[in-house]
Amino acid sequence: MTAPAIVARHLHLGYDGETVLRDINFEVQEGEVFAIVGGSGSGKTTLLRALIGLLPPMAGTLEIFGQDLASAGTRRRRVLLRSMGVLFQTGALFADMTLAENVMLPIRVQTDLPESTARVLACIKLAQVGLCGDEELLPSQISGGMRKRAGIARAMALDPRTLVLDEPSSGLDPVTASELDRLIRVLNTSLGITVVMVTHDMASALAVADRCILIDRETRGIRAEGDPRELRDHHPDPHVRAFFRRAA
Amino acid sequence: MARRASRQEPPFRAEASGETIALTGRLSAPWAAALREDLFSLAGPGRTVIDLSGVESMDGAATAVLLELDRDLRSRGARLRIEGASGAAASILALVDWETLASLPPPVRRKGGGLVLQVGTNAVHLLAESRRMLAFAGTLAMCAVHCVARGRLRFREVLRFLERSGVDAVPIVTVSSVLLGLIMAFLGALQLKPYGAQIYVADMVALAMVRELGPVITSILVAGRSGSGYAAELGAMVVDDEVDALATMGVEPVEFLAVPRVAAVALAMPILALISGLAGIAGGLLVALVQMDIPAVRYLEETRAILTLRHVGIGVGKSVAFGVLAAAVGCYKGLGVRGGAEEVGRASTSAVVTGIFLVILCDALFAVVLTYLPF
Repeated sequence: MTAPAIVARHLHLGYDGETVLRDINFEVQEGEVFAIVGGSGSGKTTLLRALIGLLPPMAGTLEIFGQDLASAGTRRRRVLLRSMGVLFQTGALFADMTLAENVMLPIRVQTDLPESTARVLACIKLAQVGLCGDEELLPSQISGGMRKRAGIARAMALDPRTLVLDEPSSGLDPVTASELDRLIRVLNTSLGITVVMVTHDMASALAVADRCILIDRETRGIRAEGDPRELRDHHPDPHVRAFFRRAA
Repeated sequence: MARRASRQEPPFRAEASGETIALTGRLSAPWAAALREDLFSLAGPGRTVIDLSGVESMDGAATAVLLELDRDLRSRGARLRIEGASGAAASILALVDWETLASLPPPVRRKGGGLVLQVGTNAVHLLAESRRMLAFAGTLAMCAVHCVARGRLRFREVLRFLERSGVDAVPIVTVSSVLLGLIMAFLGALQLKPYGAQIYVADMVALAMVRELGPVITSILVAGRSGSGYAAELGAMVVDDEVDALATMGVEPVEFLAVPRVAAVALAMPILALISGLAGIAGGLLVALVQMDIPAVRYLEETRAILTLRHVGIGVGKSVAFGVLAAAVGCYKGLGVRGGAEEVGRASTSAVVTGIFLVILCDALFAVVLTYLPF
């Protein structure tokens, strides 16, 4: 682990002047798997939207690889955002494109690779998520779990330094969810990709996360931070222990 | 990752020696196109070994170039051999199921087929679609009869849709019809002037607007507004599983969703068609006053003389048929959505196109039938 990949300092987030999250402070180290956990409606997805530049902070700073996202110029901001691959909750695949074309989209836009090489790269990425041979299928022809995996393949298309995953295991059966957890771990350990995942699936957070923050719906802030297994077993706040145990 | 700057020095080198190509430096996406160019020019059946021992870093794009090279060599009877990979290169190569990917056949692109095959396929699809539409029409008719017979028509819903499809459509129907009457009278006046028969412009506009164009233009507007709206609404409900939820509650979706919508349009159409006819006549009157110097009383007397209740009845009857057709097509397309959000857009477009086509087809049928009917 080296310099922090993401640093949030006194971050206030919200919509239309209404604060959803208050005074959020945390660091994500490069090369770690970091989970943002909390109950429904606690503001996890709001925080994720800020991390990927879709929601400007109301106050505070959010640094990506040492650069404040809000104050970065357009070009620098684009470079910073390109260093992140994002998996949206539903996969967000383009329905009229095949899986290969979906994965090729960022490659076509961001590089000058010839079409044939871009296609081979798409095949490699799809194979890495277990979708070898499904390149020519449309998103409507595959299951929810396959859509998630294809979404990860697209997010990884350009080897991002950070992978941001929104509820990667939601809507998946336990076997598929644990396969996805394993995949996240492999990508993290083999390629050194920093992973930030938003989840309410504690089994997943306990299985793959090095560290996590628990967002509290009542205080709209961070209630606990640390190794999820430590929080489950040894945190002084019984509510925090109960949250991890009950949910797990 | 950005597109590479063409004048920069590449951060890698490729040097051939014997049957080996030694790569050194950093192999990354911005330079993958240059790497590909170098490798494809240096490699061949006699030179198939890639030495990665001097590579500092390597990403997915560079891996794709190597894999593509291997595929190319295999197609020429040779195979790529990678040696000396360590660190990042070894990690990334370890994640690739090389043998499987290198031996994959090129993707089979979906082909359109020949002209005969396309015509045949489309004809089969058209037949199947016609059959489904007829089945839907039957279900809709049965549900409508059930609703009326058992007093289950949801009047509040009908009123709501009546406001949306009828009242809200009055301004656009009025303006369009005034303009249509105006254009028709203007062109008619020019043609009839040499014969001194300009007064017959009143006959032409009245008959055309009340019996033919009024119902057609109103139905086209209804297909564009309500038909597409219904398709989008119902399609979104299908995507959100709301229609399935109705079915599991023992509610017939066609009865619950389509009947009130179609009934509202059926009720709105006669009024809209009459408004359209009157607005068209008003447009003609305007041209008569301004361009032809025909007094308003004379113009209106001529209009009253030519218009009989039969013409009005035919116009109103046609408008109901056309409106029901346009609304039913909208509901059919919406309830037929399969898949995701993009299908909703397609259903909406298809509802308008099919609705307008069927209205014109139906109008042609009316023209033929009414010619041979005794009344």
